[in-house]
Amino acid sequence: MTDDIAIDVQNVYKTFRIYHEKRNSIYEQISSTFNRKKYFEDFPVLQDISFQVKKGEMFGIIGLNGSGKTTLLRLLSGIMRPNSGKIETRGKLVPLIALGTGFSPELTARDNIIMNGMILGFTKKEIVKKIDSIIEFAELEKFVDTKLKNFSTGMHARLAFSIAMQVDPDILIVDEVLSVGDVPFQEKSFNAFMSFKKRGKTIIFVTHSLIQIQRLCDRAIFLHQGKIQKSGQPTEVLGEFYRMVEGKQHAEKITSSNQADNGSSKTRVTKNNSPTSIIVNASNERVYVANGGTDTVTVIDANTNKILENIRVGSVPRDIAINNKTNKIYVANRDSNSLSVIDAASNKVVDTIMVGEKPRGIAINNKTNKIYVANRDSNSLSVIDAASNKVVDTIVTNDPQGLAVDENMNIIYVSNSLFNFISVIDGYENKIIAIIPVGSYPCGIAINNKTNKIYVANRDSNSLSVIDAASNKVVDTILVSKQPFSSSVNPERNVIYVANVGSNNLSKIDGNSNKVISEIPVGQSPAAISINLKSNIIYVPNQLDDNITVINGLSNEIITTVKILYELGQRAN
Amino acid sequence: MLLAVSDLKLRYRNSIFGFFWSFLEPLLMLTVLYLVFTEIFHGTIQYYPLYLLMGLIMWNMFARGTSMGMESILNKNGLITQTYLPREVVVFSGVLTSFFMMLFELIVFSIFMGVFGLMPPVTIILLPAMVVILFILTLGFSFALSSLLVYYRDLRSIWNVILQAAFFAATIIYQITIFPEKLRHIISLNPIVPLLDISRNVTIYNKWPDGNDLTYLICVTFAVLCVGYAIFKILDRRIVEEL
Repeated sequence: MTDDIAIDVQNVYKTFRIYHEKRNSIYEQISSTFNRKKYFEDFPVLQDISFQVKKGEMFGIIGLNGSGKTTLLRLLSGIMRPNSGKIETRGKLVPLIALGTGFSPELTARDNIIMNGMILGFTKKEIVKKIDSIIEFAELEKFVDTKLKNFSTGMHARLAFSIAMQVDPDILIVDEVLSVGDVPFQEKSFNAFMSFKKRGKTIIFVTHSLIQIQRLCDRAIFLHQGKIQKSGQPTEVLGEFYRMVEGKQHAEKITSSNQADNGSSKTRVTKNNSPTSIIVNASNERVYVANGGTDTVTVIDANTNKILENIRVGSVPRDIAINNKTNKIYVANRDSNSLSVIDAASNKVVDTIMVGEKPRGIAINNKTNKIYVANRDSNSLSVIDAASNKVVDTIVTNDPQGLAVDENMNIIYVSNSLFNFISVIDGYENKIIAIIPVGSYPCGIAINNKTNKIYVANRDSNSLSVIDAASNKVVDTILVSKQPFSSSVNPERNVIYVANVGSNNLSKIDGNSNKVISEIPVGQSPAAISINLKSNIIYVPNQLDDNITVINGLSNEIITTVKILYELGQRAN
Repeated sequence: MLLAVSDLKLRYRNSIFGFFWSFLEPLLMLTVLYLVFTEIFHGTIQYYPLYLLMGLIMWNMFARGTSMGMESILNKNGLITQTYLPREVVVFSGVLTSFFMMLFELIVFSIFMGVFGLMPPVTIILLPAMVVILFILTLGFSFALSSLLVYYRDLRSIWNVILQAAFFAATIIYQITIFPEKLRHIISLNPIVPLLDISRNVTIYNKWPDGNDLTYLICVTFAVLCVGYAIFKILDRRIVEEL
């Protein structure tokens, strides 16, 4: 075992006894001595499990119920012993297998912290020093001397979680706990996990939330009937998981959703230009397309629907925005952590601004001349002054993806995808002023300034949340097709278009009745929408077809498709 | 250690008299037995109340210790199946809890000695050793019992019966001389008998213990500990699955 390995598991087997008749008393044991029939069977729970986890890695384990996940965790924690094989761990290990075990309901929170800490192998002095920080993290200051039997389930869980985080082990074993507590606490634990990871600590992570695996883990294994079915990059493992578990259809779903959203995965499966984002300029003469599969922006003439030029930007341009006053185009390059500034008159990149990790979304406030960039992997928004092209502020927000700016009110809306809520940010103070829970995995946000409504596409709950901007409350939820990823509003007609990545169509919604009025089929995996308000023409980039669908907004008919052509040799990957 | 303290805290937290309950029970027992048996052993046993009290305190430690030790693994079920901790610690703390209770009772005993106007003799320096031997003996039994109980749940009732029988077959209430000559050897095989004998001699009667008795006691105690721990270690391997 080399120094950088935290956990080494080699050829581990574990069997359980399944009793046909349980002999639980001496009487039964004696009376059945004459009955020589075998009364139990050995059931293999884990078979030939081998893997290594490096220090500082976040390692995910997925599998169906009964696939042996919890048994594996128990073996790793030393609670059970394997029948054969070897398990080695390096450093202090803390298992969080079920929250709040080892708590005595009759003792106070303070006493329980001491008890728990001692069970985890610390001395009383060490624990007493940490009590304050544990209580503070769990936000239970008022209840330090309350007996645990008077705690709610959430308080229990928070206490257990913060003990585990504050005792600062080298290896943390976690079974389904990120889902604990309310939304702010979830956010807090997410941050704690990230900082834990940054300090080079190892985390083994079991969850049924596949999104968490994909977002958080460096590597993962998929357990199926006690064997490792697949190990490697989370994306590959999840793909295998879907194939095994839910059939081929979902395997396609995950690849297509990877195209639409693939923040942290290092293996890109794109083999095409993958146009991801699109914008029409104010004079309605030009359409700009960010090709997420390459490193280019394509410029299309809106009148002739012909490609004018391909502009080289950074690696994997994921989102695009335009400042109509200065006639500048801004492109967020996910893989080069930068923002390219293009002068629309000359179609040349005039500046490149470094932002946070994996910039994913971009929005501009033309009035204040500020640009906002959502950096997914550094959990922040970069605020850029468009006059100087300098980052002037950074706002911390978890897993930001979609962005929208209300220019009149100077308010920024950010979708925090993994946390299923929208953060509302005051553009003057750069402070989060509200959090609005929406559906599962919110992505794109659109604003109708006339009706003062905000629309959020929830990818994993197949719905669009309608938020009233005055009260910051969800006033309606509209069911659309599969995996809505982005939306766009035509405020003149009060119509909303939603791009459904999973079902390859647009849902057209009437903004007055909040009803889907028609479904417009487009190409494969449409990821964005842009509307030419003058001519009422809609542009949709289809990631998997490498083309742009051009739609007549009045008749809902497809006018033409523009193929994105770009030579293979020039691709980013 | 901490487990034991928290056990004690839990046990008495909700009762008005708190710790005093732990004295009240043996005190009541003492009163009853004293009233009944003083007549019978009239004059034959010197300081009979102290003799009886010492017997009861030590026997209680053994009976309570093995019972609590036996149940310790089952009781701490949640802890054992969800976190890693050496299972020995759980049994140890179970026995330790009753050990603490005995220490308090011994304080009461010293008060009684004062009441009877008895100064502690020199030989009392051996009492701590006896107490430690009693602890080890209880621990040895508890190791075996606690792990066996996980597999055989009716052991609880069986052990209770054994304890009842042993209570009357040991020299707690009376002296060994009450038994017929033939039986005395068998009765003396019970390690509790020489243990009680030596303890009383050193605390009350100012007599140094007999070498043979002491050797026998120490040998049996360590044999019990070794066998008990061996059983525990073998059964421990699959204990989490059986819980």
